[in-house]
Amino acid sequence: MYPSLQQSVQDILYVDWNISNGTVVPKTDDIVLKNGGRLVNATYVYADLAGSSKLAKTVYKEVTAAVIRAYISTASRVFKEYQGAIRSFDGDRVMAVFMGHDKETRAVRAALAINWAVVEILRPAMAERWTDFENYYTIKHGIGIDTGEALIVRGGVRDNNDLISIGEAPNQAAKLSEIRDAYSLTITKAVYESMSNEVASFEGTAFWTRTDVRNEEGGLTTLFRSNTRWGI
Amino acid sequence: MALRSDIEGDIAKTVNTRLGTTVRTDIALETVPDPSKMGYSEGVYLPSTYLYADMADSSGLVAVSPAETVARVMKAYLSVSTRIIRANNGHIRSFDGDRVMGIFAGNDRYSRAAKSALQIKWAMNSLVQPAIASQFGSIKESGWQLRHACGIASGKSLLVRAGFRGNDDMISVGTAPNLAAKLSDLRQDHFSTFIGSGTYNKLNDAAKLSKGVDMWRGPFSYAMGGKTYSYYKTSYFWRLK
Repeated sequence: MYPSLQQSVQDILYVDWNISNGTVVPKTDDIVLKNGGRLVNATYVYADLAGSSKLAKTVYKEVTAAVIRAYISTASRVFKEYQGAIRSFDGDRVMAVFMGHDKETRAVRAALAINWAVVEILRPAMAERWTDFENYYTIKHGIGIDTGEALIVRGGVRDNNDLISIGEAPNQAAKLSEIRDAYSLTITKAVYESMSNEVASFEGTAFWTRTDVRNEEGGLTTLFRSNTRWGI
Repeated sequence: MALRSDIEGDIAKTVNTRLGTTVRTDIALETVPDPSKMGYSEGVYLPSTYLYADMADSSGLVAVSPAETVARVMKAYLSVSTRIIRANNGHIRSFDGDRVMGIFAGNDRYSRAAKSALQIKWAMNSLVQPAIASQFGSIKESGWQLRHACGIASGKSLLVRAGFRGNDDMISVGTAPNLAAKLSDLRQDHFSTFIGSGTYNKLNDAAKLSKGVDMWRGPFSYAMGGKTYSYYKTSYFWRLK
């Protein structure tokens, strides 16, 4: 197997790219596996269900599966409503890409709506279905959003491959979705500055809290946090 | 309002539909369910071993290299890992950015998963790292190193179809997939393969010993979801022929 593996690595490292600029979020088949790529300006959102490891050990696996499915399908529905394209799905998290006019505003609006749905629809539905559910698990989640340039390519081999997004925005969004504290929603400064005021404040009061966190290079990264719910 | 009722409908369907679960009893069978052939209310309890291969510090690479270079490195990582897992009769069931998840079934699934991890380590160190360091100036100058880890854990997991995007998505519920994913996030210098003690205890001699000496160190403990698990680790590799 060694010669074929070496050959495939050589192909990947040396083949000429065929990269074009994208104006819509590509689908898997739009990108050639061998050398295709799309350069996009996009907003990345990761929605990540919390505590499913613990849940899997506490209750029947069927119940855990139902909770994961309910969260993922809710997030997916909301993303689609605001023209977000779902492009990755891994266990208990879902990733959506927004492009075009108002992409940051629509992504943030979707996050506020998912936060609403978790509290107002998901939690009551679980409590109604399994009477003592709330005694051992409260559905919590984290959503991270960043925006910027990304290169979308296709990774893997024939029959087993998927789109991969390269850039700071997809990396940051994934990381921010893993924060677990009182705020479910975390957006970067770039998102905050690009989104419209309708998703920044309500009746004159801003509902995002600015926070500066120390980054890996020793500098400060400005983030905006919120736990606001906005119904559909 | 349509969206709200759609969501409520989804949730009602999800929580009220009783999963028809089956338990695989033929433990010699090496196949893994194909989500596109599973019904939405179907679930399979599968005795299985999960392997996550996770490339480290892709953010660091994004910071020092142009996107085209990062893309080539990530594609090489994903492609090599996928090929090795498949060559050991593992089944790829998830890609997410810079990591790959493979599921192994059958009698010697523990050893095939461990062998895959050791072979991935060899291929990254001996094949991919030298190639990218000589090919890309940005990698040579910054000194960025391709590091990674594989996490492996075994158990009886519940596999259900997700069906939210495409047809090939699946959810695995159980301790094994969660523990394997967490172990693949560990970064401990030259130790890059971490396996749960359940997997370690079932390794055959080829996957456990090198020249008669145990390749694995442990047990160490790892806390997850309010419980503690024991795991073993190794810095060994397995040369591909």
